[in-house]
Amino acid sequence: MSDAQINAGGEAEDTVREPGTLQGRRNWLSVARKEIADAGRSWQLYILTGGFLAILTLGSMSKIERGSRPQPADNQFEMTFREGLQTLAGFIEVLVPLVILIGLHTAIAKERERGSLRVILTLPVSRWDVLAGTALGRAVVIAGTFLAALAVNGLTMWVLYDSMDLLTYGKFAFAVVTLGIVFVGIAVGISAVARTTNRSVSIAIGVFLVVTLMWEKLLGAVDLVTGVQPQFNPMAQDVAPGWRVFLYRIRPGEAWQLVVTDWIAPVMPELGRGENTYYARYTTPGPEPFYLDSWFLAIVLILWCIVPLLVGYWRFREADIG
Amino acid sequence: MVVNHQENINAIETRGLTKRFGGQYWIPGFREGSPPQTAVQDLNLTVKLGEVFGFLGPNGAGKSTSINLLLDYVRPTAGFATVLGMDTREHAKAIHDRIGVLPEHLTLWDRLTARKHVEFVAETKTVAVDAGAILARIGLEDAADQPVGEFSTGMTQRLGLGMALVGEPDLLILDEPTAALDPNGVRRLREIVEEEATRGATVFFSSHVLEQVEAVCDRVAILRDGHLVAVDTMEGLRENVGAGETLTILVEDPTDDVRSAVRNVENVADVAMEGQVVEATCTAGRAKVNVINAIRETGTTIRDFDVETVDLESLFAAYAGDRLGSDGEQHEQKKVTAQGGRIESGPEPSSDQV
Repeated sequence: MSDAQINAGGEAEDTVREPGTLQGRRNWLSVARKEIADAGRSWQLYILTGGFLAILTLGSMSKIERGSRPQPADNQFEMTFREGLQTLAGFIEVLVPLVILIGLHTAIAKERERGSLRVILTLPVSRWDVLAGTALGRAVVIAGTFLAALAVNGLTMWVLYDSMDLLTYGKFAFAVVTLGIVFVGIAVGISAVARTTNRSVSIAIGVFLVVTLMWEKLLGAVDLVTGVQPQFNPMAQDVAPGWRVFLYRIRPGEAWQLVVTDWIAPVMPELGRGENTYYARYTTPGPEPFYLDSWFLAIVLILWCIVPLLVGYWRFREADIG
Repeated sequence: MVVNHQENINAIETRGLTKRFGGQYWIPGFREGSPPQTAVQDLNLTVKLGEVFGFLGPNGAGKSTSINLLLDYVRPTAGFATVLGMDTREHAKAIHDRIGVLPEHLTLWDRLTARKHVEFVAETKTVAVDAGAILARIGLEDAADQPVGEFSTGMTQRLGLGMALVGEPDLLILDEPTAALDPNGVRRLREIVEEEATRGATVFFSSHVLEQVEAVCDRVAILRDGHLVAVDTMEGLRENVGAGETLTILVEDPTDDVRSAVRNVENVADVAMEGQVVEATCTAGRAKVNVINAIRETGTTIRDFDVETVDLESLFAAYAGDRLGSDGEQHEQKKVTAQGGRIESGPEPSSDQV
């Protein structure tokens, strides 16, 4: 704001500006600020926060009820907290896409449908500014919402688990926010492609199903076509060719769980890959190639955020705003 | 202060501007939406700097599409447009930095206050703004900190106008600005347009109501079915339509002599007689006196007479066809169309302005 005013003072007499003077201006930030101010007054946001918190808390508590499972002798409470997080991760992997795709698929589509997008575009704000500003503004709002819910949930876990480790939980919370931001990219991308909210909701539901429930079914179809059959191994991981394992792991929720597990692994070695956990469902016959490593999957996650935004921009840039 | 006085720059210039909708392919082979439809056809329009320019046409004539093309909301199928000398496609952001727009069917953000709206505009244009002063100018000073969701449509429209005024733009594009305004608001709008014009701004004023445009505009363009049918001053339009004065005379003895005498008067385009009423359409002011004299010379007594100038609605109707606003008087239109129906303006719309 203060920058803007200084500029304005300098330009007051020189009103015939060259197009070049616009280059350094960051109007996507103005759009983002407006998005945040607008969201702060939205009741939907509080419902979203509350709902997210409620499900998180349920997820945290469910582990306690399952307490009959035999625990290793060394420290059973320690295990319980870590397993609690692991269960929560499985929950969150479905919950976050659901919440964000429902909440944000309308981001741009609704402004377009209502006509307020026309108002933004009367200003020196490009379509890229609209897209980037909306994504940024929504990401900030989602991060704030999630952190609030995770903080409250942290208290719940602190009560439920004697051995709660604040650092681990902090890392976990950061990872949840990151997954949220990945899906903000996907949702805002959808909202830029769709001309109406009717369309954006259809696309959002489709995307949700594909990246959660349908992914393995689709891989099954791929197996049918290619004739590849992952070998079932009851003692360890199922074995499949590298590309087939890759296809399994690049699903955003899967990639996220793998990256998070690897990242928090020094604290929770028993959840690392190589153990008989959910994360290492498949492996390759020999040593795993680099593209199955968690650093590569972290890049895949970033692409899951950026590519939908770029596809959205590609369509939105040329769209007729009637 | 605001106007760029370079000789060769116009506020708005369009050349062969054409927009067809539909027939777009998302997936090759699958057409989206309705069959192709031409909304604007070969539009050549020049609006000079400092002009208050009226853009008239019935609903559906292509006014909104033309404005959407100027604002880069939609992209031309053919031709191009420049605003303040810059191509609308290449320099949209730079153009929008220097114009103020009140879009049609204005929708704002319900949860943000009026002040926030004005500040948002100022922020994107990197100008300092006294939001209170802007809001006072449009009569919203008491509602400055009220969320727009609580506004009436008239108040929203006022706020939209206020947002367009932020940063003293070189060009104001007002699309149906009187929509939803009460008479006070309409008066205030006219005053603001005049103030802005005095400041040196160009105003592009689109409307389907002729009176709104006539009251403030130097020149007017009329659009019909996507075609530009006339560009002229209000006086010029009147002359083109047939100079528009009808002399109605009540005579004692309506003989054929009277009819032929009137018909022989110079500058009388048409004569009609019904009972004792003679109706003469005069294309020049002097003709009226001559008509009366001619009737007197036949020996008939004139009981009464009345002069009627072509009214705005029928003028509009002559150019824009019969799809008028609700209060268009159809019988008036008949009189005008008798002069030549839909009138294509004589010279190329742009040739007299470049």
